[in-house]
Amino acid sequence: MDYNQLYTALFETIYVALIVSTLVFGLGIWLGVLLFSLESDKLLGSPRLYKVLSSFVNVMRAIPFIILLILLMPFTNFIVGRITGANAAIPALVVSVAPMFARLVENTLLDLPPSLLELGTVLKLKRMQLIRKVLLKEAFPAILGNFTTVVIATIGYSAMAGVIGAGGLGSFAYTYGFQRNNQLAVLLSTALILIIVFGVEISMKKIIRKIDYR
Amino acid sequence: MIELVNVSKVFADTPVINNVSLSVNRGEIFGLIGLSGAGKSTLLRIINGLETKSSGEVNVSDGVKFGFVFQNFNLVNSLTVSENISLALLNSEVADSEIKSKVDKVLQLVGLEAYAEVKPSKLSGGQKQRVGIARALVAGVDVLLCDEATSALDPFTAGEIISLLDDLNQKLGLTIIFVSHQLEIVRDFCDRIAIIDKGSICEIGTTIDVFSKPKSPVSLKLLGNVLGFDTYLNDEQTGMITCYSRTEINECIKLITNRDIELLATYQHHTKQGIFAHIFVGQTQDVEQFIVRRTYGL
Repeated sequence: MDYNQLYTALFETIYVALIVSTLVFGLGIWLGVLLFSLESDKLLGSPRLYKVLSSFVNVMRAIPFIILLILLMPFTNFIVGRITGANAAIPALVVSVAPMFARLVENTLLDLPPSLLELGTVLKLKRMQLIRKVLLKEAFPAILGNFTTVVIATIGYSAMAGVIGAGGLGSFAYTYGFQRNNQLAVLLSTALILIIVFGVEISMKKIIRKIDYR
Repeated sequence: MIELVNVSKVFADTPVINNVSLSVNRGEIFGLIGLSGAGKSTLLRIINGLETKSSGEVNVSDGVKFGFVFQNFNLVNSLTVSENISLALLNSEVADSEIKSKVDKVLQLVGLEAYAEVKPSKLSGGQKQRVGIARALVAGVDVLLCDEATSALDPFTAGEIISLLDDLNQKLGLTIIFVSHQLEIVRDFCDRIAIIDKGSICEIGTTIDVFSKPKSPVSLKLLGNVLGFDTYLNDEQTGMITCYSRTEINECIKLITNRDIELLATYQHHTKQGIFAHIFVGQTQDVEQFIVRRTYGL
C-alpha cells in the first residue's frame, strides 16, 4: 500500500469538504432566506415563486447523489473542464447539499417566533436589516447546528463520489481496499474519515456553545 | 390626536372589527378592554398599521410617532439590551454618534442603566418589559401602544410596569393606548376606557363612569370579576346593581348613592386595608335587600 496515495486521498477529502462546505454555507443560507422570505407576507410574500423554488429544492434533494453526479457530468465538464479528480466532485456536491441546507435554514427561520417579523414593521426596519440583524442572528446557533449535519453529509457524499473517480478517501478505499483486496486500506480510510467527522462535530459544538445566547 | 371613524376589519369572511369609532386625546391614557378574542389587539394593530383595515378611517395628527410594546416583550435574544434598543434607531435620522447617548437616556428612564450589555436571557420578565418600553421610546415617540403589556407578568411586577408607564405619561406627556383584559390594572391606570366585545365597542367613557355604571353584560362580567364578586348583576327594572360574593371573611359593604368618584376611592381604601369590599350602587332599601339576599344565600 502506498502511503503517499493515502496522504493525497486524505488531503483531497479535506480539500473537497472545505470548499464544498464553504460554498454550501454561503449559497444555502441565502437560498433558505429566499425560501423563507417568499413564504412570508411580511418579507417578499410571493406564494407562486415560493412554489417554484420549493419544488426545485425538493427535486434536487430527491435525486440520489450518485445519479446526480452522473447527471451533472456535462455541467461539471463545462465548469471544471474535466469529469474526474477532486475538483470535479465539487459542483455535484454543492448542487446536492446546498438545497438540503437551504431547507434546514428555512425551517430554522420558520421556528423563530412570528412576532419577530412584526418587530420589523414596528421598528420600521428594511427587509435586509430585519433578515441580517434580527432573524439570522436569532437563528444562527440553530443554523450552525444544522450546518454540522450538512458538513458530515458532504464528507460522506464526497467518499461516494470518490468511487467514480473523484479522488479522496472513498476512492482510496475502493481502489486499494476493494479492487486490490487490502483490508488495511479500508480500515485506514474508515479511521481517517471518522477522525475528520468527529473533529468537525467536536469543533462545531464548541463554536455553537460559545455563540449560543439561549 | 388619534381618531378612528367606522373602522371595520374582515378576516377571511369573518368580521373581527365592526364599525368602531373612537378618539384618543393627547396625553391621555386610554384603555381598550375586552375578553380574549374581542378584537382589542387587532384594533391597536390597525392604529399603527401592523394590520390593515377593511374599511373606515384612521386619522392621526401630523408628525405623531408611535411606539409599540408587546405582550411577550419581543426582544432579540441574541443581542444585548442596548443593541435591542438601538434597533429602533437604525432607520431614524439620529446620527451614529448620538445613538449611545439616546440609548443610555432611555435606559435611565426605565431604570436599567446597569444592564446595557446584558443579554435578555439574564433578565427577569419585568426587566424584559422595561427593555421593550425603552426600545419603544428611544426614537422619540408621542404615543405608546401597549398590547397586553402586563399580561405575561405576575401582579407585583405588572404593578411596577404600570407605575413606570404612569410616570412616563406624566414626565414626557406620552399618550398611552393600553390594551388589556386585566381590569384591576386598568382601573387604577386609565383615564378613559372602551370595552370591546365581538369587535364592537359596547361601552366607552371615563374609567370611573364605566366602573360605576356598567351597562353591557360584558362590562358587568368583567367588572364583577375584578371587584371580587362571583356575580355582578344589573337589574334593569330597578336600575339596581347587585353583587354576590361567597367570601365571608373581613367583608365590608359600602353604600354609594352618589355615583361618582367616591366609588373607586372607597373600594381602594378598603382593599388596601385588606378588607374585602363590596361596592353597592343604589338606594338604602336596595342595600337592605342585598344584605338579606346574602344572609339567606339567595
